[in-house]
Amino acid sequence: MNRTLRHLILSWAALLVLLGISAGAAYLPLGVGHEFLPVCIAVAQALIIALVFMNLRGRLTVRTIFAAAGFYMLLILLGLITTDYATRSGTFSPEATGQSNRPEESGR
Amino acid sequence: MSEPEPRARRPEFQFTDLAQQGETAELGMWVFLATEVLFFGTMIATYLAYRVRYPVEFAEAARESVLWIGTLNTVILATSGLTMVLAIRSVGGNDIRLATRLLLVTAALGAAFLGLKALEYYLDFRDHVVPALDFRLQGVPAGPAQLFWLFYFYATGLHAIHLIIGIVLLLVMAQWTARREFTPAYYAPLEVTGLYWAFVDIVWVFLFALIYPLGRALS
Repeated sequence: MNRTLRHLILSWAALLVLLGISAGAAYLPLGVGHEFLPVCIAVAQALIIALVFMNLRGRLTVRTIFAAAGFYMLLILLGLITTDYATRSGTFSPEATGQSNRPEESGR
Repeated sequence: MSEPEPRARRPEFQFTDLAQQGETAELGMWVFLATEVLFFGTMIATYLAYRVRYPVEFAEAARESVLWIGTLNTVILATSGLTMVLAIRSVGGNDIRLATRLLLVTAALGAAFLGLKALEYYLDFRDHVVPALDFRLQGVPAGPAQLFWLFYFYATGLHAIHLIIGIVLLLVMAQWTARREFTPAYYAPLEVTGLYWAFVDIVWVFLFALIYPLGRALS
């Protein structure tokens, strides 16, 4: 088995292991961790897919810049949306958000 | 058994050679994918805004999603991502027959994903979590819970449409590969299809993370 083939299969296995963690951890009492862990795992999985399956590894080329541009614009979008909702009054104001309290988790 | 001879391919008139034509096609796909990132990104951003506003209601609503189907579908899509890359590698190594088979396997995995998705939609309907049509969730405010399920159907539905387009592309690529349209010197359409397929996989891992693990640890 040559090196690239092994890389591909290891990457695929890593995707499945990460999925297992994401699905398994869902039942654990992680509190606010549930808000972040699955998304962090998704980011790791997306990076594996982009770097290995979409072959973005290697030196910086025009292709890498084009690929990064979409995510850069997405960051701007998310930044502006976050600023907007954080400074609003009304439905999305911090006071309104605070009214909805988190219930107790099992296992505590 | 005789096999058709590879066709002598010449670049389109605006390109110097096939390598340049291939690079241009690939770059074009990346531009398209950038628009797709914003398309799905906007939807996910809206979801996150409402999830921050209604954390309890979203968690309660998300518990009704079918985790085992979501997990199995993620396995299927990750595996199809692997078979797609292996198909592209096979054409690069001039193993046309293996490449054709791998492309058909990839398309079949995509179809299996859709089959499970259809089953999941049926179960959702049975569980009365279809907004507007039949929504009856016990003990949860209907408004915010319906918002979660609206996102679920919009996001997974749009993802499924992308997957259907991908399967059609894969079948076309399998036919072209079998007809010996591609050689180790030129298989850009296959690579471009591979980029699209991998992107559909990326969208799915985010949808999985936002929909399925949520609310399982609630008492």
